[in-house]
Amino acid sequence: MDILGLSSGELGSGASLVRDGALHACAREERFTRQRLDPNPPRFAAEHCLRQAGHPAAGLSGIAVAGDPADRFTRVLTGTLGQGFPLMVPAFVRSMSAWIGHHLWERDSLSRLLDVDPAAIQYRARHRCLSAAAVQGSGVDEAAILVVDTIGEWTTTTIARWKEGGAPEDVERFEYPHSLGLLSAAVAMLLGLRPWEGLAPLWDLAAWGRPTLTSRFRRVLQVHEDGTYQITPGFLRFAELFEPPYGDPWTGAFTDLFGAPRDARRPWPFRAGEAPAVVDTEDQRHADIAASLQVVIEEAMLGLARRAKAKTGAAHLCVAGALAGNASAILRLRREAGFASVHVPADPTGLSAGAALLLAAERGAPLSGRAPQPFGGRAWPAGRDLAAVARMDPMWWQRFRRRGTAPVRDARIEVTPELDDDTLLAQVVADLAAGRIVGWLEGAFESGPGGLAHRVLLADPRDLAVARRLTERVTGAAAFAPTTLLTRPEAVAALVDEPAPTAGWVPLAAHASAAARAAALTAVHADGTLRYLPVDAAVAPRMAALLDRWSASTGAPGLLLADLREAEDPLAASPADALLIFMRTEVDTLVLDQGLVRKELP
Amino acid sequence: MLLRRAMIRLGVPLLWRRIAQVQAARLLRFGITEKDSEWQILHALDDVDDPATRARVLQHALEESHHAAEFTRVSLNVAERLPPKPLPPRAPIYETGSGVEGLAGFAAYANVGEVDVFEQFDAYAAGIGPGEARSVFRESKLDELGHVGLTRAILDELVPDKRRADWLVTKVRLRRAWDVWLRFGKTLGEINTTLVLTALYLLAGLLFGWPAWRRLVGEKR
Ligand SMILES: [Fe+2]
Ligand SMILES: [Fe+2]
Repeated sequence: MDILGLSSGELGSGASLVRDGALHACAREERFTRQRLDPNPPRFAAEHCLRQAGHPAAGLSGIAVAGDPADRFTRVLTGTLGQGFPLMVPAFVRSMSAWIGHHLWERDSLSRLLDVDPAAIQYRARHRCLSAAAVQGSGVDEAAILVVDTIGEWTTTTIARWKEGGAPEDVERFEYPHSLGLLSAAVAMLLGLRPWEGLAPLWDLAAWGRPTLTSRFRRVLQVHEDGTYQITPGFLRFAELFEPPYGDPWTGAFTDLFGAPRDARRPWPFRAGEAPAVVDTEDQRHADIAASLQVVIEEAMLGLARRAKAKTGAAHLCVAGALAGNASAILRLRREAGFASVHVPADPTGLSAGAALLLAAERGAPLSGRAPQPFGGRAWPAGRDLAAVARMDPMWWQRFRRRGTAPVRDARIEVTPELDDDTLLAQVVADLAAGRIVGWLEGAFESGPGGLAHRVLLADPRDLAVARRLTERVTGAAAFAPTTLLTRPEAVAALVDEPAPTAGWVPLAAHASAAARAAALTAVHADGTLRYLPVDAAVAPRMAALLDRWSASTGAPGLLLADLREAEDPLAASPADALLIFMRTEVDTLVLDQGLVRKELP
Repeated sequence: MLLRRAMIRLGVPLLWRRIAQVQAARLLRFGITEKDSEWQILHALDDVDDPATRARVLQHALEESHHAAEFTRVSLNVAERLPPKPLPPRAPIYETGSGVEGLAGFAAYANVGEVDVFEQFDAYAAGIGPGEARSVFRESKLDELGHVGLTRAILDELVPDKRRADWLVTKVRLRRAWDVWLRFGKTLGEINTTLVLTALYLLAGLLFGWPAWRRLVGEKR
């Protein structure tokens, strides 16, 4: 039984194929279209899923789309009319133009895209899809679910309960405008970041600030004793975030509390792995805003988690939604919410997977917490690109390199199309030890938001210079963001000072031990937590083998991990994407499946 | 006098900021268009196996990727607020699996596109004042000239008959003229829609604003 799940919207479109109740393929549209968080209908991701299914859409047992358009429409109308009338004209015009232009005809356009009858397409509420996605890979058979989202139709936060074999059951829902995700998006914008892409940087920034403004945030976000919360009216106009281009989602009362929006051009003075230099008061105040928001968000999430515990009595908690990516908040839940374990799935905003899993569960394929497919994307043959790069002269690349990168005019490019793993891994370990940055592409790309083991950049975590080179001359990521230590489950205990999970699908946080502080410089965040990702040999055997060799040869507990992507681009998908990064940046060694490309500078 | 000073004090920064915002948005749109060129090339490349062609086309993609990165970079240096980042759906010019015929059509389309882009960049490079943006226009326009040659060379390889190759290019030109006409009509329609929607909003707000407000505020959580 094959079921296709589709989703689109501000957190990025995607498609998933569920076969007999388990994820068979799952990909984000951005990987194919090369537009980060591409919100458009998932045409290419759906094609990929059908290719993996081996039959056209007509052969599917069902098609599920995340998000009920009718409910969404009433929320958009109420939101634009009920808050800030008559100032919301632009937001209303933007929203209605988008609805008239495409949202209203979504069913028809999807049916044309897939060449199926419109009646075959079924909608499922967004929060229910996220609930279903939440349990993926948890390994438990019964759990409370907490979905902390930006916004769905009306629902923003959900508490649910789930037992292996059934679909998640809603226990309680919180509705628009009371959204922790939208509040975070608004604060991201205030700090000169983009509303959705800016969420992760906002949370990373929090560690650099002091929570001096929490009392002000408590006026905006009231967290009650019983674990419920409420956004106070009068501070925010979330309807400005319904459709791009987004307007300012705050009122004068909000900027009276937190000041005018930050100049987006202003660089941040914070650098991961380094003590902050002299920090301007303005920069410090902005970091303090992030830190203060983090405190109240953590209080709210903790209240919700405890409420979920009280209402469900479950031993385990599964968290999904945009805020599941907030590793510090998840750490707080793990420490204080009273659950035996807290899980975050490989794709916490995996709406398309959730939609398909939910429909499959309704059709009798039980929803299970068994290991998900974290690499549900597409794979390409690498041979033809290895043959192509062997014919290129790096002199041609010179003018098109990323700003500030070392010249490659006289570099020698070494291409080895086919190596056995033994030789390949030995070479990669030697390169890493020599301070080189390694790009690693293997098989199919990741389904979730970041690179786990198939589309990653690797470097020596003990070397601060290489870490800086990685952010400044390859990824262009914010310098204040910590890196992640890619490690093996058995190495975790020595790296942290508290009980911490040894399995996970997204980077985890736990208080760093002295050993970690010495060995994983930029992976230890400004708040003293280590960001790490344990690699399971059953899921990513080659990466596990590389880590074992690396540790055996150098004594280092793991490797520095970053997404294989440049600046504003999404994660690399094809070998050609990876090669472009190799040509443009200071990636020194690139692994393409069994092939190896090396830049040898004179 | 005082009034004039006050007007300059208030008006000029406001106006400048506004203009900066428009400039930033325009530059970022160029970045997005260049990124689309890169994507179109990589999308067509997915059906090309020959290593020599792949090498040439990868180089072309690298150049467009660099243009995109440069326009994006300068767009972020212009204004205090981030420029809006529209993400239109990708509309592939080359449809996967359409073979040599499709690739030839793509080469013709790209050829016409490169000429257009060259002319646009040339005009901008001449028209705007000195600064980072001008150097990006200047540098990129030279690359575009190279792309005109490259895409034509690939077209000639795919379609050895010169008259047919020329006809493919002409067809694209006609098609693009039609697109411009369609876009003009669409803009008119959008202006109309905005007016109608604004009137509708005001009317609906007067009628339903109060109950909607109550729905949002009255809801305890
Ligand atoms: Fe270009
Ligand atoms: Fe070009």
